Amino acid sequence: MTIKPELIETLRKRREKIKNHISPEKLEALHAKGLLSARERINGLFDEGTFQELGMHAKHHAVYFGMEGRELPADGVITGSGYMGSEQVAAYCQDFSVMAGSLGKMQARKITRIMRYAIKTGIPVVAFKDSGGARIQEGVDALSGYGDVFYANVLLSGVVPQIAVVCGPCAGGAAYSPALMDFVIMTRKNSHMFLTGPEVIKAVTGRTTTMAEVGSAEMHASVSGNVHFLAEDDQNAIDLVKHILSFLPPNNTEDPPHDLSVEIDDTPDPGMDELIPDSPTDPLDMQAIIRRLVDNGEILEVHASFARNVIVGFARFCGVIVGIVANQPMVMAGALDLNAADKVARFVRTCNVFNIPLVTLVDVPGFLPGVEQERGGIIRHGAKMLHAYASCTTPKISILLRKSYGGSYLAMCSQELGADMVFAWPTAEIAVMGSEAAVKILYRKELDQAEDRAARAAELAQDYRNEFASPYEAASNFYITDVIEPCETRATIALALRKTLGKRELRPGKKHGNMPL
Amino acid sequence: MPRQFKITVNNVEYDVAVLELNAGSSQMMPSYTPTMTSAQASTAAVSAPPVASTSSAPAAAAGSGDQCAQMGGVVASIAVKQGQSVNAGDVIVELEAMKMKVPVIADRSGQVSRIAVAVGDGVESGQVLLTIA
Repeated sequence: MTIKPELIETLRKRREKIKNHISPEKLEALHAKGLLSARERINGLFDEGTFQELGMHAKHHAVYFGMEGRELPADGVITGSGYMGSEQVAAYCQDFSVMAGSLGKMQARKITRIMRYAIKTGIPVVAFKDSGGARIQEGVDALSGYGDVFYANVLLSGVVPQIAVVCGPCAGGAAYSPALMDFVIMTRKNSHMFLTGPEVIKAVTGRTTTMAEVGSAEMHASVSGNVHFLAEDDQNAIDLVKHILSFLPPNNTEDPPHDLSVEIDDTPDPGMDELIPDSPTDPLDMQAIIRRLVDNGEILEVHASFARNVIVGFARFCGVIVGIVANQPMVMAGALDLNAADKVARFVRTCNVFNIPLVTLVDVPGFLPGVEQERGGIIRHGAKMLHAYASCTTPKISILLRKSYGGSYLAMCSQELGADMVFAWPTAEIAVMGSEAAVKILYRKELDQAEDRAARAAELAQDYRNEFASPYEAASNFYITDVIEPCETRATIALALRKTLGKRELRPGKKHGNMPL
Repeated sequence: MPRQFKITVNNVEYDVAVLELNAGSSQMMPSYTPTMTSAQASTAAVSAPPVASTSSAPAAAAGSGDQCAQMGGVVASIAVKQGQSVNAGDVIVELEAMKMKVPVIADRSGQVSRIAVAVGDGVESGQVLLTIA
């Protein structure tokens, strides 16, 4: 008694046809371009032998425009889950070699099915986007399919991490799916993403433009901010996915994978003192400060080339995973502007949903003054930072390194916005506004009567700075936890994080706050 | 046929003649041709001139090799001379803005072929400071 061999044979043939539909020559051509096939991407993501596919044999039901009987392996998308080490992760990859990876109703059903599986089992989703767009032959079914995917993206948002890898075309409405996910990786050479491309822009507006200008990975990573990470090629993108996931919990009910077996090292680091410039007008390099503070000098920057006047990213302090938010005085004096505010607010909210503590490093001269800023709505954008920080209930540790002025100081997670501990360096200047501007208002009459107005103003400003812009003024009013030496910073943060990890904060029940968008 | 406009910039009136080169295409798609309302026209007039710029040349479109100001400010120092070789990553100019020194860093290696500003000049965001050829 045994199963009929022809049944096994049929299954094997069917599997073979679906799995190996790309000829070796075509595969080689893909590799030459730095591309991997859809199956290679999925296999690259997971430990060998752990991938289980969902719906390999699923077929489209389209009949018009020559679609009847047309065989499309796996309907142009591979979906399933596998293991990365001990963690299960769900993934799907559109297959450009199958009718340009175009999305119809069945492909959308496969995608939303794996997403629902992910939310049920509480595991992250990785989506490789490589598709020419809607499968026009399926008409409104294709359109509906996109709607289903977007709805699922929103359903999963804030529950399980969602990472998009744009590794081919991602045009028109399709581009909204990555935009709804937590992180977007884009490969440098072989991908593009836009709502309307150069041809449509030319036809509608008359303006000649290029793919590089409106849809390239480089543009999205540095100008539009639609992309968080730039990958060199497919393999690099897969490595990045694994790197990102190494900082995240599998879902919003769990903590990120802290390593609490690491002992806190409280040895002072005198090298930190040497990174501080003599003059308060000389910018310090926040990149150097961060690399000195965190474990192994490693930070995974998010939005690394977008709004470089702030730095956000994931790192570890003696094993505890944190999100770092820091001003970068080397770029635009570290002033906060429209894009910087968006970048910070988005990152803070990402950390909040995934229970990641925040370490905020402050050296900010203010919000950037300017006509464009005001007309661009810096009030609305800056308010996103306030909203994000104040709503965040994970541990929040802030360090005031130097300049901490006015609204920008509050927006960088001051004690008032819910920081659990705030430490200031002796170089910190915490004040409602810059000394020069303050004395102009406070000593208006005296300055009007002064013989040498400029000299008197400088004198008063210096007095004001000494008296009020030092950390001790804020400390005496109990707005900061303590003043620390720069060399103690790493140990102080590490200890504060361990102590606040168990933090629980209850807020009034509501559907959601009304964040200014 | 050039169209005549009267434009007011900082309360000074200018007569401007504009020749529309692709008038035909805009007629084909009238709904996409932006018509400037009086409110837009007045804001355009206000935002057009460089604010408190002491440099005679207004901010021009940056070309290849042009090193631009990343934000508005005053030129505090220029670290290079005409003809000098620089490396990508070198600090070439220092601006002062928000009471901070703001380094301008060369985005490429080459020779300084032109210096467009002087110490003390007010510059706008995006204004060309010097060119590396």
